[in-house]
Amino acid sequence: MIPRRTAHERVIGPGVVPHGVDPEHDALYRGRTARGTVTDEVLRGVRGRPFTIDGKAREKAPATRTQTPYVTGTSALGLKYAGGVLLATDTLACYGSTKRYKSVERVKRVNDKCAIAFTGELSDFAYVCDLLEELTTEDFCEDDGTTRDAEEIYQYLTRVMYNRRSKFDPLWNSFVVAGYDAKGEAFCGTVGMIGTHYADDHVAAGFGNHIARPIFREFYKPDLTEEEAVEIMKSALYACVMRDKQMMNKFQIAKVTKEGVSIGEPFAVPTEWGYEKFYNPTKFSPGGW
Amino acid sequence: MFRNQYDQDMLTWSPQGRLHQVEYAMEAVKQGSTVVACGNQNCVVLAALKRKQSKLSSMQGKLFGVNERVGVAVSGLSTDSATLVKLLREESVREEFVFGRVASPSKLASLVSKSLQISTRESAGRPCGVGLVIVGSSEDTGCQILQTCPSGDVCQMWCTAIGARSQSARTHLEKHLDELKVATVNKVIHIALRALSESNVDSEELTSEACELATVESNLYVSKSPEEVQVYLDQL
Repeated sequence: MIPRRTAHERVIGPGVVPHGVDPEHDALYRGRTARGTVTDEVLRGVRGRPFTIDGKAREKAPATRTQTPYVTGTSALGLKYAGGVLLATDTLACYGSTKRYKSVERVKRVNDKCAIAFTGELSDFAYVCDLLEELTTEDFCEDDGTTRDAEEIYQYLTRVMYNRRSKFDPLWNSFVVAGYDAKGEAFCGTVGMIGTHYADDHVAAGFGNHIARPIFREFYKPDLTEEEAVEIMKSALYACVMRDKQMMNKFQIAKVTKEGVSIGEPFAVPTEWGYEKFYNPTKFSPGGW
Repeated sequence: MFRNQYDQDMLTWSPQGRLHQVEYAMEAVKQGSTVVACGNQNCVVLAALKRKQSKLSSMQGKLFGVNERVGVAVSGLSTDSATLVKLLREESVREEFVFGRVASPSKLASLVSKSLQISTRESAGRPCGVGLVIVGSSEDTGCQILQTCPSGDVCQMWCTAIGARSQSARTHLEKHLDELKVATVNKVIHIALRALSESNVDSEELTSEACELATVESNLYVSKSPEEVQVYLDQL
């Protein structure tokens, strides 16, 4: 049996390749021995390199296991109103496209001035939560009577995300940060997977950025009451759940006010699938199927 | 040559329960030139006497801006203070980078305190022979004066004076304590400079060359130029 190259990855090694079997491989390794340039004639009698896994080389290579997400949450929405900020997510964590975990709270209270909601990898979010817990504990130990406000948390998350991106090992999340800034004004911002960030009166992370924000843009005004804001949020969630296959009809709305953070009970919005165009969705889109 | 057998290192207690090395370091602070700080919730003034190594050298600066809201005055071994000022500035930059915030004076003071305290319980090295007066403001607390000592102690003060002959400055400040609580910046500057001149070498008048002045007001640390200092001195 002719030994064949079994691995192509550079870090694992070239595999077993006797000279002459694979001219391309020979060309690649010609002249690379410690003794200097080796000609084809000398190599002809030499046995192929053994198949080895080079542990040292693997350690040097960047970890790739976290470079694709496994269990993910989809959109997170944030909306300011006159008395505070609202956060909204569904409670689903998908395993690929499977609606696997259906009662996941995707909002975290950081402290009285700040709460965050996430999209993307659930385990990475757990890691970020650990970081924030650590930060809170540090602040508590400092005992100088101050807590990190939402703007600081937002800036901190930006640094964390950008730092991990720079290590080629990004945290697979984007966040909506809601709360109050140092001046005591409502704050609402989003941080992306690679450290991109902006603050606005209303933000959305994930797919909701395309679906919810047009609704926010249309209905947002600075003096929204809480009831109005919740209504807008519900219509945005409705729009999201109708279009996003990774979203489920079980939502939570959290609000950050001067009194602190409260995360609401899960609820559903009435859905409507009887629209005429749903019966033949590609009727007016040539090329669809 | 030695004062006693318990002062050779940081790890040996004296039977009276004292750490002589730390006390020596505190003595070094008393050798330094005078620093005065006083003020109230709205404004704080730092004033310091400068020294020069010899007649041929320039004056050595004693006030350092840490960030836009915080400044620090040092008394004692100036090289030790350089390390601490560097530490403060680095922390300040880090805070600004990571949290987008100007570091508060209390946070910075507690950082210095930690750094100083470590050197009082490790055999390697020695305590820093320097006293710091950190002044600054933050949204939560208003203006603050924080004083550190080589033992790692941090105190929040209304007024303080450290360094050589600082007792007379403190006496002066004590007399004006009530006045200071409601004083405007100009008034506080006058009190600070008078207190400083109390600590000056006998019968010598303060000169703008020999003294340094900085204020913290409306969330801004401002170091005054010699010309500005001269204006205040003329008003005394």
